Amino acid sequence: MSRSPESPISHKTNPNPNLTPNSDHYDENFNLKPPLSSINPKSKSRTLTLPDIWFKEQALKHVIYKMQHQQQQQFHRPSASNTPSASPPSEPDLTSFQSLSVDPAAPDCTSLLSDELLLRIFSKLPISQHVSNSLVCKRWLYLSGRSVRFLRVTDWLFVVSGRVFKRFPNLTDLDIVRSCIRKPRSSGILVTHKTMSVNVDISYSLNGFLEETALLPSSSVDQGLKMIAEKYPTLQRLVAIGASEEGLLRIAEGCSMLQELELHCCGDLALVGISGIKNLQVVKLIGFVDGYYNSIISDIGLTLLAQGCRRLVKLELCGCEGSYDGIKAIGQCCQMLEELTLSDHRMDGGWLSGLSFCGNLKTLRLKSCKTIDKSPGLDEHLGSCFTLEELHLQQCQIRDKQSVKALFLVCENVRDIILQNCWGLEDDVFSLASICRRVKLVSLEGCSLLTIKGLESVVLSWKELQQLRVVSCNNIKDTEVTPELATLFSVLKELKWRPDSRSLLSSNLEGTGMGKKGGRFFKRSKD
Amino acid sequence: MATTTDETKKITLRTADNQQFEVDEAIAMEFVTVKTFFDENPDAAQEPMPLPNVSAKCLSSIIEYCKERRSAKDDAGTFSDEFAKAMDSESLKEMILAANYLNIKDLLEMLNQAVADRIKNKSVEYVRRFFGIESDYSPEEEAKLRAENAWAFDGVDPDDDDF
Repeated sequence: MSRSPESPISHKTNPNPNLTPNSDHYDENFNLKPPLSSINPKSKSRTLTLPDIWFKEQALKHVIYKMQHQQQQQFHRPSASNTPSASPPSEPDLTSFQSLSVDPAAPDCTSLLSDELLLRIFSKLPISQHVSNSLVCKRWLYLSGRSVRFLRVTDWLFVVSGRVFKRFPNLTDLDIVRSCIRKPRSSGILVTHKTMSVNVDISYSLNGFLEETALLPSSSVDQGLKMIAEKYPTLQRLVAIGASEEGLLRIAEGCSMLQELELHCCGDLALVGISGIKNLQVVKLIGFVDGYYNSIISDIGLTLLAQGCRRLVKLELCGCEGSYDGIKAIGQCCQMLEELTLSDHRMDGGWLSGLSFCGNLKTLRLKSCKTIDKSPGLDEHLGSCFTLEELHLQQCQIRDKQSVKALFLVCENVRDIILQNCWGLEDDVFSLASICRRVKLVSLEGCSLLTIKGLESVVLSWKELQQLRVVSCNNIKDTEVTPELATLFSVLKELKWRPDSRSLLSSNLEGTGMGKKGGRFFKRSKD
Repeated sequence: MATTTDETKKITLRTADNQQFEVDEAIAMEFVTVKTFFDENPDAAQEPMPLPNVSAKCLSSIIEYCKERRSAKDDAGTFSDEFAKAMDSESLKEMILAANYLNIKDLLEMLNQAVADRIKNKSVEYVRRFFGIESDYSPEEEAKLRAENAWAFDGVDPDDDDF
């Protein structure tokens, strides 16, 4: 290591191991990808700069001042700020945020700035500057890392070698999903799904985008989770993939403050471990992702979740199986549940009536669902979720009138209805929405089958309607607005009326020549 | 108490380079270190209080800052900016150490912000030069670190897009 000019004081004070982290941090076999270019060690010639000259003369004086200062501190006991203790700690204390001792023997100028002062300066810098600050010197590397709270790890070795804990001891939000997916070395293709993105190469196309062997085995993931549980007791959010019961049990033991958990490729058995995490409020479970992996979350898993995480406020289930029993268990156990989102669900028919057990549910979202409920059962047996206020349907198939009717019956008290890009929303399907008598806000986007007639009959029946948004619903024509509708529009608090997206688009493109047939576009000479 | 003929009590402070400054008590009490000293030793006011970690140059700037701040209450922001802008990086660093030693919260906060503004989004080399830091990385270590920064994680850059 090249150090700055020999300091006359170096023999007097101990080199503080804390502030000059030993090279053992670097001697590990850290088999990262090799450096992109080979660097020949240059001989470093020191050019004297002004600070060097200044400090060379002053260095000794400063040590004496520091010693006096420390003496005086003990004498005066200034209490206002966290003043550093008089003696350096015996071993590197990288996990606490308490200020460490003032300067080591290191002669560089910032050695006079205590850790605490530097940290205060760092706190005023954008977090992105950590990456360049880490390269300034070793002391800055570890000091600056202490302010980083959120990290997405992309290399598994960074976790298991322990580097992540040394560099970022104060994380509260950690995402290790990408590090658990082996990247083919030479891939330039990134496939992105809603929940994850994966590097692929051409040979993967037959079996789906993610080969089984590309996902880190659960035993390894659990190892990592065990280390995370030990090193980050104040962790608040964790995103992991392929974790199993054991790893989650360790997390439950170690991270008692965990509030948010997102588990990809999660199965029923893994959820046994989740029951120990008492403070969980936000949970997202992803079981099955078409083309990526197939993990099953069924009623068993849902019940385990319900019984273990009674403080749940938000729950999102993606690609989960299950049925009425699972939803009922959640409703009964998670009394504080306010938001439930089902994405691409594979639930058995009849699950809708389980919602009536959710005594506090305010928002229900269905995303990318191929069916709402295959066999919702008789209307009388459905029950209702009285507290529900918002209903969102996004990219769902809603051709099946029976299940749409059941949905509206369960959500009969809903105030806000938001339908985005749903297929099959014809007039008679939409007419079922008038089952909900208390609607105040309705937002329709991308509903291309709905006509003015269908819209009108429902919207006029809603006596409490205050906000209406209609965007890109191409079958609704401006010219067909009836006088009754116009009157309604004039009394609404908010109106966003842009049903004809096509005309909006073409008016913007006029004169540009775009949208016309290719040949003509290219043939046009430059104007 | 300090000898003076007018109403305001003055406190004498002696800097590291042996210069003495007479300061209004009110201002001196803003230096928490000084305040604590006098709180615990009311008799010590007979002699000038030694400030071994503060140079005369620094102390005079600090006193000037405190005086200005008291009189220009509403304009505090612009005055601070001008004050900080006028300092070169060396003085800035010295002032921080002095303000830290004397425990003057507002001044320290302002100076920290000034330094942060000067090094914000600047390159590694610039920051090193500003603080006079010599890198203690060997070329191999630096290369390893750069690789780690590039490949091992992301999320530290707020511009990273979430997918």
